[in-house]
Formats: sequence, structure tokens, C-alpha cells
Amino acid sequence: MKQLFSILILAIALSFNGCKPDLKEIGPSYGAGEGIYGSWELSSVNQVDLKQPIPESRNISAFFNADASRKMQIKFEQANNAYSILQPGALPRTFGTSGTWKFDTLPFPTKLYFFTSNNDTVMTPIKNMVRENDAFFGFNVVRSDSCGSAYVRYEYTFKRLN
Amino acid sequence: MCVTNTPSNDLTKMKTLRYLPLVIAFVFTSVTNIFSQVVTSVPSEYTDPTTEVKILVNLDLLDQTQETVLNLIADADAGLDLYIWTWKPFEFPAGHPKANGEGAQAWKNSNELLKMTQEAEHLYSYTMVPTEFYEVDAATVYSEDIHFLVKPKDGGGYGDPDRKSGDLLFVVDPPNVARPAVYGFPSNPLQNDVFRIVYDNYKEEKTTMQNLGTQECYVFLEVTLTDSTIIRPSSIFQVGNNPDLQMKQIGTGIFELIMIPELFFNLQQGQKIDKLKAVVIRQLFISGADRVDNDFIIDMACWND
Repeated sequence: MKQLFSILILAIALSFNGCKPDLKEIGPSYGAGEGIYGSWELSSVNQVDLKQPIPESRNISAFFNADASRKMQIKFEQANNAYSILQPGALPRTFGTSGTWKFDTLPFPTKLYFFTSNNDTVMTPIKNMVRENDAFFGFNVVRSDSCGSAYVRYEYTFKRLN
Repeated sequence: MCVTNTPSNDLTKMKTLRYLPLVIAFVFTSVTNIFSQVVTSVPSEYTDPTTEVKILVNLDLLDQTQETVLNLIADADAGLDLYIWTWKPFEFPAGHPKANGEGAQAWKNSNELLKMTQEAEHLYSYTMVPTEFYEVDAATVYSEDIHFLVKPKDGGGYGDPDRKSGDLLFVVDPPNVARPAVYGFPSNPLQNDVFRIVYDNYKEEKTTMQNLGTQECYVFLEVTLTDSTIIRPSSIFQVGNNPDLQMKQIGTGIFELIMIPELFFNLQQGQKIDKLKAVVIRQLFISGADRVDNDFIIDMACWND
């Protein structure tokens, strides 16, 4: 009887082993940064004072949220990697009115370059690698004084408009 | 009272005089220790351990009453290289690439990585970024400082006379980040930056300005442009009637005014701010008692090319 019971247990165990699920396709992988295309509006801003002995950060979003016209809006287009400033808002006019953009080292970019129509190049470390289903995306801008010394960093977060 | 010299008095004097050189040496050593330091650095005001520092050791200022020090200086004079031997803020264990010494008798075989640079006769340096060298964070460097000594590659011991400096200390303190009652953020803005003037009423020492009410805090503003034009949104007696100049309470006792200077002062294309002056006052300004004692002034001249 005991032997029969052991065989039964073994048979059940083997039958569970046979229930291993089949692996299925999980779809194509995300293209790095492909979610950037579209229009974005400033959602929050941190300002970091780099001239302090220990850099200090302040959230200045309330200043922008108090008046919608203060919020910068930017559109990234797929064609020709063009961008345009839909609404400059109250931020320093770092990006001009339009230009082209480019990620650095693909497929793992860490920076976003803006090449403005004024022939300026603005390098911005990105806060996240934006995917098509991401509602938020951000990058940082460091400003330098006339002597080339970095004095403030703006940490921008944008919300997807469309 | 007449005191005559007796043999016993002479003996006492002679005994006292015998210690005179020691007393002079002690006083001299104390004075030189006060006015000169064995360990110095470049930069001299070093507060950020995440940046590079050159630590300098002046052998001439070591305690030369110690035989170990005399041995060290003799080795330096003989042209031997000197090395640091360090144990704080972190000591790497035996076998580690940054361990103080190598082999079974580490004290007799200093790590080449720790060789000092001779800057001048009896002046040696070692350059490092403390957080990288010790592989610790800045807070650890601040709390532990840098402890080390100087020795030749073979520091003696194991039956031989020791050859080393005494224990040396290079103190790394955090910078003083205390703010005055009125300050700007960021501390050096451009005229198109978002800029806030902050007033911490809790830090106010002037009794007539303490305990300001929520609606009572205003600021007199004045900018001087590079063409010497002066712009004041309101005279100091009218500030209390201008809502744009009210500082909003953002926390208990803390008030702020946030602006973008070129928009706030309605600057025209090409106009540049040279100086911005802010004076925190009570809404009802009658006399000097109703304002803070110090003007807050930001010099923007070199920030607006």
C-alpha cells in the first residue's frame, strides 16, 4: 500500500513539472528615446545654486504654475530631428525659437543636444529615457556666467501634451 | 633685607640655569608652533574633499627633539624618497593596491603609490582627491579628517631605529554655509534667471523688526543699470502701497519675493543691470526702525556680458 502511495505522489509531481508555461513573444523592444516626439509643457522646475559651497536646490514650480504663460512648451519632431519652442514661457531663453536636436551615444543616450537656429549648442543631461508611454520627461540645463563658470542648474520636468 | 651669596645659593642658581636652555627651547617651540604649521595645503582654504588638494609637510617644523624625526630628516638629506603612511579616514588592508606597505614587513616597504613629491628642501607634498583616494564620502572626511605620518620607504623597526615623523593631522572642515537674514537664491543670478529674495525674520537681531506679521513684510528694490540709470518701482515711503513689493510668507517667519529681474524691472532690449539693491522694510515705513540694518546688494556687472 505504501509503495502504491509513493508512486502516486511521484506521478503527481511529474505531472506538475509538465505544466511549465510556453514562452511567448513580448513584442518589439522600445526604441531608445522614441517617446520624445510630440509636444511637451513644463511641469516642474528645480533650481540648483552651484555657487554655494554645497550646491543647494529649490523647487520653483509654484512660480510657473501661478501663470500658464510662464510655462515653456516645446515640440520635438521626428522629421529632420527638428524642435520648436511653442511658448517660451518665463525661463531663460536658452533654446532660441527653433533648431534641431540629437541624442548622444545611441542606443544608451545620457544627453540631449539642442542645436539652435542661432548656432548655439546646448547640451542637456537627460533625467529619463523617454518611452512612448511616458507622460513625463526631463533634462537639466547648466548656465554659466560670462567667465565660463557654472553658477546655476535648472532641472526641468515636462508633461506630455500630445 | 640683605641677601648674601652663599655657596648654597650659587648651587641653586646653577641648577636653575642648567634648565634655562630647555625653557628657552620650550618657549621657542611653542611660539613657532603657534605661528607656523607642519602641515599646510594648496588651496589653503580647503573645504571640499571631492576636489584635489596638495598636502604639504615641512620637515623643518617637525619636533626635532625626537630621534625618529632626526632619522627621517637624515634620510631626506641623503636623497631618499619619502612616503605618506595614512590610517584615517580609512586604512586599506594589507594586500590592497592602496595599502600603506607591501609584503610581510609593510613598515619596511612603503607602497610606491604613496610616494611624496619634493617641492623644496625639506618640503614634501602629496596630492589627492580625499573622497577618491580613501574611497569614502565627504561626510566621513569631515568627521575623521586626514591622519598620516611621513617616512622613508624603509621606516626602520624590527630591531632598527624608527625613521618617521610624528602623527600628522590635516583637518578638513565643511564650509560655513550660514546665511544672513536676507539673501538671494541663486546667489549670483543673471538678469533673466528666476531669482528670489528671501528674508528669514527668525534671524533678525534688530528688535524693532522682529516678529513681522504675515502681511507686514515688504522690500524696497532699486537697480542700477550699466548706463547708470536707476530704476525704483517705488520710493521707500511708497513701498507699502505697492503689492508687487510685498514679500510672501512661505514658512514660519520666512518671507520671499520671486522674480525674473529683467521682466520685473521692465528692462528694454540691451539694458543691463549693474547692481540690484534690496532693503526689507515694514509695510508702514516711518523711520530707520522699520527696516533691516543691512542693504542686500548683488553686483551683476560681470554676469551680463
